[in-house]
Amino acid sequence: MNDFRIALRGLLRAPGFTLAALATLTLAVGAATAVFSIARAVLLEPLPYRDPERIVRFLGSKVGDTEGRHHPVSYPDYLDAVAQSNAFERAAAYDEWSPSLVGAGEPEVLVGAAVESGFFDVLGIRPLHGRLFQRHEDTPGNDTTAILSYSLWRRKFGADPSIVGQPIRLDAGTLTVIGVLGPDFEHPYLGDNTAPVEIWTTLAIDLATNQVTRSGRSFTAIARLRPGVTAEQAAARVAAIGKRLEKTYPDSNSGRGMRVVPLHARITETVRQPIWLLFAAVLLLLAMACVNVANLMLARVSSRNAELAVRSALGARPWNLFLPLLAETLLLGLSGAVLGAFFAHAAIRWISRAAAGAIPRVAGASIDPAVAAFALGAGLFAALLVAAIPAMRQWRGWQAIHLRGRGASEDGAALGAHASLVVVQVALSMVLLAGAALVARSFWNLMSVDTGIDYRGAFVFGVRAPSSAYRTVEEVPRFYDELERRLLEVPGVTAAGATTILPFDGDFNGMRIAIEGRPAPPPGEELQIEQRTVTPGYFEAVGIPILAGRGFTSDDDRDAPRVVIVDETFARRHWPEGSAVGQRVMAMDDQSHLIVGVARAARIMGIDEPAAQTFYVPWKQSPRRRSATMVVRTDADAAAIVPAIRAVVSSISPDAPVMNPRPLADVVGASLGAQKLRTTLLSLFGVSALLLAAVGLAGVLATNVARRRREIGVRMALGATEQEIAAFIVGRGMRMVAAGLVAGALLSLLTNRVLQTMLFGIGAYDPVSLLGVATLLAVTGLLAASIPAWRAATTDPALVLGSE
Amino acid sequence: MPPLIHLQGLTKVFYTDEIETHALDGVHLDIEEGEYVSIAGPSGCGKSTLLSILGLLHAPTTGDYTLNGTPVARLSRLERARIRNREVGFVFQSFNLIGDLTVSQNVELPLAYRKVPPAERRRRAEAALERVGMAHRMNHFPGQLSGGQQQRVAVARAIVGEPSIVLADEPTGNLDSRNGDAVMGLLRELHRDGATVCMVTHDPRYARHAERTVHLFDGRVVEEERMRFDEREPRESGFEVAR
Repeated sequence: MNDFRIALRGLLRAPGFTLAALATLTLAVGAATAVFSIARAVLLEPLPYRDPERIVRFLGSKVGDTEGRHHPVSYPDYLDAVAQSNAFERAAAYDEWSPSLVGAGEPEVLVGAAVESGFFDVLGIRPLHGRLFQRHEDTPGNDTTAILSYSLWRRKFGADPSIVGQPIRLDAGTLTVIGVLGPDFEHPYLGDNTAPVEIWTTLAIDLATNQVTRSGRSFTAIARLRPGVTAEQAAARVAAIGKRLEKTYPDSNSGRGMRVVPLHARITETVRQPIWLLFAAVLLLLAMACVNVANLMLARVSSRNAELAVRSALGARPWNLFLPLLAETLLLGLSGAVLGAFFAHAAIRWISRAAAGAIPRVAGASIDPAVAAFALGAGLFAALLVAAIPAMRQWRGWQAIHLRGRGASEDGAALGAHASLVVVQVALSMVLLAGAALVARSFWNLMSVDTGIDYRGAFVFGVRAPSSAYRTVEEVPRFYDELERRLLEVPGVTAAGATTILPFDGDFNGMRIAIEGRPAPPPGEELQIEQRTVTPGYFEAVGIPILAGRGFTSDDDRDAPRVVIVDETFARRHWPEGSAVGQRVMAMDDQSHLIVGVARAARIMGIDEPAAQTFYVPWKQSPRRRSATMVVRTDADAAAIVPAIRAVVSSISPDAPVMNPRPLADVVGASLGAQKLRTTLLSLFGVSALLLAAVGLAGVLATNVARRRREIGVRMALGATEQEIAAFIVGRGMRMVAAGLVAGALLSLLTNRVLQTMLFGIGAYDPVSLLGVATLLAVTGLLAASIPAWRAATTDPALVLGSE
Repeated sequence: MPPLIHLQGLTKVFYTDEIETHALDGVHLDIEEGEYVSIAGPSGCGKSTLLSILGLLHAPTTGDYTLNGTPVARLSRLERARIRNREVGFVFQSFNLIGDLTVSQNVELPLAYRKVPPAERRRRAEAALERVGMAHRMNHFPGQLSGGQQQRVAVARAIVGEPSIVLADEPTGNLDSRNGDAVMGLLRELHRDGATVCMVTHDPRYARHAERTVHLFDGRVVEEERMRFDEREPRESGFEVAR
């Protein structure tokens, strides 16, 4: 206790050292704790369901897809897999659903899901109020019930428990609320939308009415494994069934398969590697911070050599000398842990907000007892590491006094230890900065890629033709015709059009086609193409020019010949010499389509995906959906355009909701959310590492200058000029930097491999990035060295030498 | 022939916070070429300040200083460094050899700042070490030498550039009497060979090695004492060599 009291007094007497050490440890422990908290919430924490390791997810697979994309399955295939595999205790299909809630304030499109009744049994959860779905609700006619999420219940129904049993009005009809889920329910991220599902209803599919087909792949499903069946066994059985179905139904299933994966692994698969990468980066930062504080502590211990000698002369053993040092570092480490936990709390809140759409489960990150224990452990680890290096110096000092009978001052050895630590710091900085530079350059490449779409100046919003006014989907084009026409009357709007799937939003809609007059490809090698259903104004509104032929017109309706517009990629591939316009293709509906135009190739699947071969269909010839995303080209700002859009939509149909109005550039930004977050965090860590290295170098050189004041005085007395002294100090610093750069470059070459899969348009060993980082570190080292060099150059030799 | 060093009305005032300290207060002093002068006086009398001005480590506050015919009182730090390198050799009380340089590298240092080529530096360092009897230790580090040996290396470093004057600040202060005698003998031999030596000491026994002793008190020259040959310390033969 006495040692702690003395240590506290010592720290308070050296506020500069204490503040610097504490700030460094707080930053590093805080950053490590924040990333650990996220890793724990996202990757380590089991899903909050009963026996979560037994829950798996069904996914479709597709020949040639090496990226393991989320392919949906067909309902009949899923039923066969469940029935034939004997691997599942319970299973439930899931389909996305976006109903409009009307009659409860302004119409609002909800994130919904239609599921089979066993869905919540698979998860093993209970409702907060009411009940869950029952088997009889799986049959058509009984699908009139709904379960609300806790947030929707609070937001729209005032957390009134009596809502159970009450009807709610949706645009498609009225449903009765049978239950409310609890606040802790975590949605299982089954849809493309990462936003939590707010309303659930039953699927109620009647196979007899041929409502679903094997080629209609729009479902996913979850299942609970039977006891004793492992996920690998289930996966093998389902894959085998998929192969059988492929042979049995070649028309619909060739090139298609099925797989099951543990639900947790599926949810986290895209973020697992980046999170561990960030964790590794932040541990490096923590190591650097420890090295920095150890360096400061080393200087502090070295300045106590006289005290050490006195204590030793009085009979102190090494342990007696080490205890005060340990007490100081423990106080610093524990304080750093506590302050770091506060810092982490703020960082977690920021990251949770910034990464809400990019990292699933991130909302669960918090400072809970385990995370607090990590912070404490990190602080203690830092304290011990910080104490270890000066302790070794003290031990050598003690040995010097007692074994060799000499004084404890071994400046050369101390400075050697300082220098080694700086070399380590520079090397670690180089590793972090090189990683950050690669990721940043990759992000820059993504941002500057030519998407083929002039998305600046385009504004988008979701809209839905309400069934109250447009009873059948055949009537829906009338709504979009009217909407397009009325939007063009809004001041500042130069073009408007609708699409079923917006570019960059990650959704896809593949279909098979055949080119008329060419031999049919063998099964499994059919032409796969992305299909988009659009209105005539879409191309101009979204900024995809028609390069040949014509765009769609309002005359391209059901009574007119079937027409399509293909994109440049498709046209070039199949008619490299001639023109695609005038050619015919056969689509899945077995109808012949005349190609009337060629649109510019566009990266509609995402900025980091090459332009997909695309097939645009006029909405009036394929009216299958009620919802669309409207694209408006305008020079007006959001504040002005949104009220005008709402007014137009409301005037056409008061029940039609306007969803998520935003610039198309925001959609692009959101599609790069994960990359942006990764870049931001790695850059922050990199810059922190750079600052730590700079402070470390400056600190070591300052110590060096302080210890070598007499030598500097002697050199000046012998005729060294100020410039020569400054160059001498800078040279010492740059030698450490150079050694660190060499070590860091070698380490980077080893570690950058793990980044390869995250990079776009740049290699993991990009020499420009490595050179740039090395230059940055060298310049920073030069600047860091210049302060102690200046101090050395302004040494008064007479004063230094006269003090002897 | 003008004196090697000519000081006229030299003052040096140090300012710390609001306190003015008059370290030198109107010093007049001439040192002839080839002369051996000692500066004596009690602690705080201004001996070291005078030596630092003579060695161009400090500029005087007022007054004139001419070194080898060149006015040096108003030079920039850079010019002072250049002249110091060529004209002055220092010997310090605590030797001040640089621990991580070898004996030879220590001695070469003034020549390095003069941009003398390495081979020439090496040759001249060896010659200087030869003069002080330390050539056999030229590849040793200072930590491997005794105090007396280190001071002899320091003397070699002071003379390697053939300066106009060697300034020695209490050169025996950290040595036992035997090694102190040896170093004093070495300075005397240098003087005999033509070197101008100016030494600060408060030990009257060593002050008698000089031809002239200048007594300082409160920053002023209060007495000059010229030694007769028979009064001067007679013993100066041989050096102790550490075993």
